[in-house]
Amino acid sequence: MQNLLKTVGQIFLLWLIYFISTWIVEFFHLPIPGSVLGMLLLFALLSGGIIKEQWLALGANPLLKHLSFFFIPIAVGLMEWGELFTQKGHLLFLPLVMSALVALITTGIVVQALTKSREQEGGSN
Amino acid sequence: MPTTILIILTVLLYLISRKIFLHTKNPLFNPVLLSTTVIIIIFHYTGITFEQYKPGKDIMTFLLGPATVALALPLYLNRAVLLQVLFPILFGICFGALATLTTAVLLAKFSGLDALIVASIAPKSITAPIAIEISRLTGGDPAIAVAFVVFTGTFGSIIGPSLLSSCKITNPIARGLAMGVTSHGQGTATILQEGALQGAMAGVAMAVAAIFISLIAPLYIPWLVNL
Repeated sequence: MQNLLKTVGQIFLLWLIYFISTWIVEFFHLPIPGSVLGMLLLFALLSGGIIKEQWLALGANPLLKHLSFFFIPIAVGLMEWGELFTQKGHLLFLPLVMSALVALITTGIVVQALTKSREQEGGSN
Repeated sequence: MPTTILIILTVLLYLISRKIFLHTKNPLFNPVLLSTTVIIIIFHYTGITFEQYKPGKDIMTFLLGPATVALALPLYLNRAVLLQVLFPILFGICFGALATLTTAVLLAKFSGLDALIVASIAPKSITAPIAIEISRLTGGDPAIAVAFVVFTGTFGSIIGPSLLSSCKITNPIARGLAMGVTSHGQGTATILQEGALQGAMAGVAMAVAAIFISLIAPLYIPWLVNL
């Protein structure tokens, strides 16, 4: 019972950060999503020691564990676009597949090359 | 059809598909792909419209914002590794995220797809909650954006580990980051099976790529779409 109250309270704290960030974004007409500002804000609050990790873990863990649940109701909206996909679905294949290959290979090669050169620098010292 | 029943249906399908996914560990059986397909098929045969589903959808997605904010927590817990190799990590993530977005948008554009699709394909490697927001900011559609996100997450999880190996990318940091940049949460879950460092790196990549792309999106995506 006590844990349940804690979880609800911690989710409320996360919601409060989200609410404030969304408000800031709207008030200042910032061109970023409120949830991204909220994420940056929470990271800053944690790094500054203003919010402790233990104050949030109980509420954050179930939300993160079931994050993909939230995408299901949104993805159901695809049913309104059925025609578009049956007509042009085949055209989507090339951009989606090629860009995924590009992401995997460029990120992998760039990071491996940069960390390798650092290791060699470290070794020569 | 009352909203309560539609919510119970969605939750039940999620729980069942999650069980199937955790049991098979097959990226093709990920809960979003499986549940969404089944729901759309049920709606198709029972004549339920998206309009009727909307009130339930709004209730179910109420906590998506706070859940996205919570992504800061794993990023914070991994800050030690992040700071150790800060430059290669940040540069690699931003380079990869930019390269994949640009490739997707340009290829979609030259394939003759509508501007709505081109704008929705741009955030396809970004974690879904933020891809939804980016698509709203740049003239795309959230549902189409989620479809591309899930396709990319699934495809990258299937081919990623073996493609990286065949390109001789063996460094665990590089493998984790590549999977996170490409396939966000799904890629993170996949590469976590190789080790904790790979998983942590993928989580870092997913968060940093989302932040980086949302910062450049409002200017870069419309520019690219109208090029």
